[in-house]
Amino acid sequence: MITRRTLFAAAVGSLLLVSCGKSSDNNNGLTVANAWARQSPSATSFGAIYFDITSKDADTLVSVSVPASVAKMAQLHEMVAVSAATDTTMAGGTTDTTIAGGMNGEMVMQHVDKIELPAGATVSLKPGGYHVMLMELAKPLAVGDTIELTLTFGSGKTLALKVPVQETAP
Amino acid sequence: MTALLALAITSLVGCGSADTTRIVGVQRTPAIEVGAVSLPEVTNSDTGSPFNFWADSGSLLVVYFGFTNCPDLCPTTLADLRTARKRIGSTADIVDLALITVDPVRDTAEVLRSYAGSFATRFHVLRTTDLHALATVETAFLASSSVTTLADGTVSVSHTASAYVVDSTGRVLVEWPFGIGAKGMENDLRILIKQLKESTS
Ligand SMILES: [Cu+2]
Repeated sequence: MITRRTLFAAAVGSLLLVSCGKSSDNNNGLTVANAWARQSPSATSFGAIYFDITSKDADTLVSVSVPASVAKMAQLHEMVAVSAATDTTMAGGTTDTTIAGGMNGEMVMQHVDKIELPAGATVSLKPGGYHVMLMELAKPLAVGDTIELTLTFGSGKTLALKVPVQETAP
Repeated sequence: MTALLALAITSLVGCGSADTTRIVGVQRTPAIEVGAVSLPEVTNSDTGSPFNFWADSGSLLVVYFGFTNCPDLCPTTLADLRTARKRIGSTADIVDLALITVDPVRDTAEVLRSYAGSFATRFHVLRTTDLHALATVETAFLASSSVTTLADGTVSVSHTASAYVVDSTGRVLVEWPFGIGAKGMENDLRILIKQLKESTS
């Protein structure tokens, strides 16, 4: 039996959902907030997407994808101090140039297989940490554009997001 | 030196309250001097003319080592600087920018100009394929970088993520570690601009 009270609660609930424009919850225990992609500077074909994500149950973010109309490829990346970086030479890479020998705050980007999402904890993808890397952009990302981003999790869940392109973080 | 730097960064992180009289970036003692080194400036010509690392008289020069295919650190820092200058307003017109590519093979003069123009109206873009010359300048700033071609053919670039504010004598007044944000830059630039105005008036 639907009482007046539950109707009221439902109305409040939907109001909250609507007013909370920067957060999306697919009722699958996953919440994403503050998603944004950086407006492309001139002369670059790479981009980055950031967001805060919370999973009710322990999970892992294992892959990301965007339509080909946005970029050829999307990957999970992380910025790390050079001393902590996976040795690229070991992975078959060749260092073309090393300048001045790594003394001060040198950082490098690396691909990560997954991002751990401990139960209930908010994990931030943000500048200087994790990001969704967009490679070979189909066209420069402009303020006002929206990117459709699909997240896939270790649990098998997926989550589709609409990510606004912005000049700076929300 | 390392301990001092760690201390300075710790105080930066702990600086929650708005003490607008204190620099939040790193100030080394003694200050780093970079006026003796130069790189080719390709802002107005592809061949380049020597650019020395000092600000014009009455100006401040922000120096950044980066590359245009950098998706994260470089656009974050350069956009933060743009925001800081915008918030300060017209007094920030004396803040100049020198952007040095650590990836000269891919960053042509034309690419650099176009890229820098997204973040500033007043800038110098610097490029050399003489890696010895680049190393000399990086060493002067206590910075470093590398370019690596990975097994899958992608190019991986590492670089020091700090920005430096240099005065007209070639002295580094403040070093901004990555993550200082537009707010930190705005705070420090306001203080440095005020000090500069006082010393020249
Ligand atoms: Cu990346």
